Formats: sequence, structure tokens, C-alpha cells
Amino acid sequence: MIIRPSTPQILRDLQVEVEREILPLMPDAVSKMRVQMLLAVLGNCAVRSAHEIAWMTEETAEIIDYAREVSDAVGAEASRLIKVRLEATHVDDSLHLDDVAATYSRAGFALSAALDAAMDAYLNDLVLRGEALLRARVTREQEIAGGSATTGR
Amino acid sequence: MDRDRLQAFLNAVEPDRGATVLECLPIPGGYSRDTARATVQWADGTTESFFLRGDPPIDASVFRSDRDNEWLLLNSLVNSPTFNIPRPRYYDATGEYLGCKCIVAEAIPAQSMFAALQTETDIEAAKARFVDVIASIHAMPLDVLGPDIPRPTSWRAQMDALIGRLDEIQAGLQESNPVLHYVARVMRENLPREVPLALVHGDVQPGNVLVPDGAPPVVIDWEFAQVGDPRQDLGYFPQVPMPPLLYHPDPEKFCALYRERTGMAEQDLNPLIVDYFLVLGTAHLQQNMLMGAEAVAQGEHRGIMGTYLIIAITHFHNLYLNYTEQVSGSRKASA
Repeated sequence: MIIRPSTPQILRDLQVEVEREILPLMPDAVSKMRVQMLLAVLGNCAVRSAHEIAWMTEETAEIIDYAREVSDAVGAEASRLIKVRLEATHVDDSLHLDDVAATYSRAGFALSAALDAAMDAYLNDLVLRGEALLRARVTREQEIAGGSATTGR
Repeated sequence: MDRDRLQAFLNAVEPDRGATVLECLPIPGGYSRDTARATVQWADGTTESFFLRGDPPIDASVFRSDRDNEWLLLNSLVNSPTFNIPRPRYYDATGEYLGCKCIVAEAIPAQSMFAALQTETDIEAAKARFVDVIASIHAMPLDVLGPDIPRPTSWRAQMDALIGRLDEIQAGLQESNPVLHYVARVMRENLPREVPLALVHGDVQPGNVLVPDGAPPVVIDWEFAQVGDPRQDLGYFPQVPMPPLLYHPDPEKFCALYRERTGMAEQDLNPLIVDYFLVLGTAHLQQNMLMGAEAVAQGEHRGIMGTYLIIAITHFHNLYLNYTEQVSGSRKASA
């Protein structure tokens, strides 16, 4: 397959084209605003396409480690609930985006089950570690957003 | 919502007044409803300006709210003794004329408080005026609202419904959202003290306050209004990112002003409580945005908003975690 330009490079090039050639043609403020939003989405997709498979794979592995640790630290019933979620989070070798995303989503349920169990058992250190995993997830979401904030509502 | 449609509508609702629509132009700014400003000349030579607020097509929008309810509410609020709204004049309840359900209200010849803030030199005075507006909304006696306006059976029922919305969001997604799952739990474990229910605007920000010269402010954009905990509004406002910021960088000052206006106790309103209600006061937006993203994932189109507002989902995730980290930080400190 053709790998140069990469997907992020293609998306950034499209941004330039839309900004230079299409945005000035917009007849009114409403249309201009829509095109500016489209430009922002293209920018987000450029960041996301460069990293999303790697990021989801890394986070999934960290979540599985964390959930196993919580499972070992809590009572039998709570542990069983986490294990059910962990078993559902079977990681296969496919790197196709839909497969990686499905695994990542299942890992999210395991993380929730583990955090619930840690909170129920008042295991404060494990609660804080679970919260740190959520923070890491959101930090990457913010990286994709590129520090932009929506305006108005 | 164009000139021809408005002309046909006014011909139908005001057949004896000889309306001529001089212009009807879309205006940008809101993410939720389509908005236009129109100027109409009547047969007696007088002219009037109107704002039209209509529902955008389902496949070009993310936020959902009910125009029938908004129309009912506006017709109650016009009698409020504590604040002013633009007088609602007409409603195309079926979209037969204007192409969508659409409310036509009198346009107020005034800039918004947000626009005025751009040249304001005394931000502290502006902050006080804005807090006055919020307090005036919350001071409205609830019996002004007609019997058709829904209200929660109790404060606790309202809180359960607000927190339950975080569960509803997750149930409506085809993926996990461990951030919302965790936040909902922290919310339930840190319920604040009860305060009296009040009218909640639902989108309170300087952009939704008009400031006519020599007249009291006028509050607009009531689509997310409800009876609820007044702190929902106080939690909603700080996440609005447009400068100049009135809540930050001195949240305590903002809270103190509100307490002074309303008599609310410090333990019921302080920056940590505001952060708590930031989650609950914005959950309706988060729900609409996540459902919009989910619709896109299922192959539907929601206009540019469906994908653009993913940025805002991230923004709220970040703010929600800021709150839980404060709570867990206190837990850590006390351990």
C-alpha cells in the first residue's frame, strides 16, 4: 500500500486545502463556522489516526494488569465479578481497528468493575491507581483534541 | 425559517395586520437550535424585530430539547416578577409554515452581556451583575410556573434523576465509558446537603443575558430550563470557556457573591460544591453529545456537530475527573 503521505499527513493536507480554497467561498457566518468546525475535526482525526491503535493497546494492557491486581486484593465475590470482565477482555492478535477498539471497550468494563471493587473494599491506593488510569485515558483524549475547546453552545 | 416561510406564517397568524417580512437572516452562535433574526413591517407602518428559534433537522443536529415544553415555559416565565425574558409571540407547533417547530419571540434591541464583557474594564462589577441575574432566576417563586411545567417530587428525587442520567448515558452507548461510571459513583457517595428547589436555567452564561441600555437584563435561551437544584446553574457556568472568565480565577469570590444575594450557607455553596454540580449541571449536554457520537458510530449523520462535539466530550471528561481527583485528594490527605 502507499504509505507516503501517511493518513495524518493526508488529513492535514486536506485541512490546508479546505482552509485556503473552500472556507473563503462560504457566503455567511453560519457556513463559515461549520467549515471551521470541519477543520477542527480533520485536525483531531490526524492526531488520532497516528496513535489510536497503539494507545488503545497500551491502555488495555495496563487495565488488565490493574484489574488482576484488584481481583487478588478483594473478596471472592468481587474478585469473581472482575474475572468475568477480564475473561471477556480476550486480547487477540488482530490489529484491525474495529478489533482493537472492541477489546479496549471490554477492558473499560473490567476497569469499572475493578474500581468499584476497590472502592467497596476501601482500598484507597488501588482506587487512586484506577483513577490515574482514567486520567491517562483523558489526557490522550485531550491530546487528540489538540488543546482546542469548543466555543459557544 | 426563511423570509418566504415567515411571510406565509404571519399571513396565517396575523391575517388582519398586513405583515411584510423585510428580512429574515440566519445568525450563528448556538450549537443547539437554528436561529434567525427577522424584521417585519405591519400595514400601519410600524416595524418589529423578531428572533426565530427552530429545531434543526434530526440528521443535522445533536442537541435534543422540546419546543412544546419551551413554549409552555416561556408563557409562564413572561410573568416572572424577578427577571425579564423576550415576550414570546408566536409558535409554529407543527412546522407547517416555518419548516420546523419554531418559536417566534420579540427581539430585544440590546447586545449580550458576553459582547459587553469584551470591552468591560471593571470585571468585578460585571461579575456582580451576572451573579445578580443568576440569583434573580433562582428567586422566581415556583408558583409562577403553570401546572403543566413538570417538577420533581423532591430534592432527593431530582438528585437521583441527575445522577441517574450518567447511568442512562452509559446504557445508551455501545461501548464502555469507565470515566462516567466512576464519576457517577463518586457523585452518589458525596451527595451535598439539600437546598430548596428553584427554577434552573440550564444554560446560564453571559451570552444568554441581554443588557438593554437603561433597562433590566433580559434572559434568553430557556430550552434546557427545569425545576431543580439551583446549584445546577452554578455548576454549569464555570465550564463555559469563553473569556473573560467570571468564575475563575477567584471561585470563592463568585460563590460569596451568590451566597450574599441568596442567603445560601457556605457549606451549601463553595467551590467544591460548584465542581460537584459542574458534573450534574452539564450531564444533559454530555448525554446529547455522546448520543450524537454514538449515532455517527452507527452510521447515522448528525451534521458537523456529531463529530465536532467529540472535543467537548473530552472537555467534560477532564472537568469531571478534576472533581473526583479533588475528592480522592482529600481522602488521601485524611488517610
